[in-house]
Amino acid sequence: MTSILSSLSSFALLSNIEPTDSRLFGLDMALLIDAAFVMLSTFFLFILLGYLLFEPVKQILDKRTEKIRTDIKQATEIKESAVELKTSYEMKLREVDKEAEAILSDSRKKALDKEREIAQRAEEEAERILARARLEIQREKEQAKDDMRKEIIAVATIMASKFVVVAIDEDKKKALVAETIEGMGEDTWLN
Amino acid sequence: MNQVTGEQFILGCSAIGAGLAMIAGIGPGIGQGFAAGKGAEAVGRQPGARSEIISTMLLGAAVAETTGIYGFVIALILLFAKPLT
Amino acid sequence: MDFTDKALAKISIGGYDLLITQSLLSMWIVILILITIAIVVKVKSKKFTEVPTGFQNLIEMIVEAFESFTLSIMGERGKKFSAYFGGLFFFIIFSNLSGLFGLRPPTANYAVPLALGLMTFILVHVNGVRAKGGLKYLKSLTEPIVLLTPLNIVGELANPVSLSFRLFGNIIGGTILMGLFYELLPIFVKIGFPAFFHFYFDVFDGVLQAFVFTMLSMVFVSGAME
Repeated sequence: MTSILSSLSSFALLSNIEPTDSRLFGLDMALLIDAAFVMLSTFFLFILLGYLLFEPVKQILDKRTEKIRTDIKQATEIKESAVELKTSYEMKLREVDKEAEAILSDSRKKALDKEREIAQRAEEEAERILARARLEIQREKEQAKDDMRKEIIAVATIMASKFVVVAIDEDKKKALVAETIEGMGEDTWLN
Repeated sequence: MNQVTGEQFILGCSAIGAGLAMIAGIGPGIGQGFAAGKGAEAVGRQPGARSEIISTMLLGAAVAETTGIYGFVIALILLFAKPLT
Repeated sequence: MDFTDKALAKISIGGYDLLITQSLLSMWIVILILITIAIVVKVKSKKFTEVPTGFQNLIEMIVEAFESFTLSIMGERGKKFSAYFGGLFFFIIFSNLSGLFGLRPPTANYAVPLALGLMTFILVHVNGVRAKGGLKYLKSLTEPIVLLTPLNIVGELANPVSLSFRLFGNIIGGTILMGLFYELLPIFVKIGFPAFFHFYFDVFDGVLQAFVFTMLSMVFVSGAME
């Protein structure tokens, strides 16, 4: 304890500098003391420099490097997903095109079918109308034929009755009429 | 002739010794010149590795300089530390 | 001619004298400047943005360049050392360049390079033991054969000496030569002309030696850890 106190008390600035204290170079105890002193100060300096200058700047640089690395990674990931999205969209677009094509061709076919159907139906209708018309004609013809025969029969009957009103009796008249009708036939008078 | 004291004689001899010690400068001169020449050769052959060659050359030159510095320090000791008086 | 490192004050601690010389004073100035810069960076770093501008750009460029330099020499394990070597590099470079501002370079006092070299030495061996384990580390000193153990030990001890003397010798040589120029040149050449020598001895040599010191420290540390 006393030695520490005495060394502290001798820690005083002395002005008794001798000319021999100024020197250029010497290998002695003073050099070692100076060196120890310099070591202390420089060690202090290096620690301060490390903590105040190098570490913070290095941390900033490291952080930036890390950030740039993650940014680039993210960017490539985003790019990849974008490319993926694009291809999927293109595929979907192609599919949609195909679908549209299919729908179009389908509807075209349907329309064609419908057209054919309509035409067929119209044709059938026409056929039917024609047939009905023919039937009508036939019926008219039949009617006319019948009417004409009846008329002719009536005229012939009148003429015959007038011609033979006296000479021929009732039986003979009937036979004659029947014979006349038979003789006329079905077709001969029409042609 | 004035009397030469022993101390003066030793000082004079020390000065001569310091001068002789500086002959050591020849070695590093040759060595560094050799290093520089080889360095120039290497840069000429491989200009791409210029900075690396230069730093290696400086390191080699610095090591080659050591003996010269020793001689210089001996000269300094003889002249200023005066170990013999 | 007087190139000595003048003592400005003397503090005695427990019987030993600690001389406050010019170079120690300029070392404190350099340390204060560096700490001020560090505090400014720390304060500003809270406001640093994602997109760097101006001051932030400069600081980031320096830190990043130093980190990549450390990694290129020490490999992946250099990450936790880059702060220490960064501090070392900037301390030496500021010390060497302080000669330009009329201060006596702190590195021209052998105590400073010696302290730095010893710190590197301690770092080398502590990390060597930590990376390899005590026994394996001691065994690595006996390689390639047991006979070479004393040589290996001397080689290890020579590393901080050569490291510190290289830095010290270069800077003190520059200082002495600059002093000689200023002493010897006539007055009208003193203005402007020494700029070239200042450029060579202070700027070129200072930066180069800071670079070499840091790089060799890195090489030693990573060599001890392998």
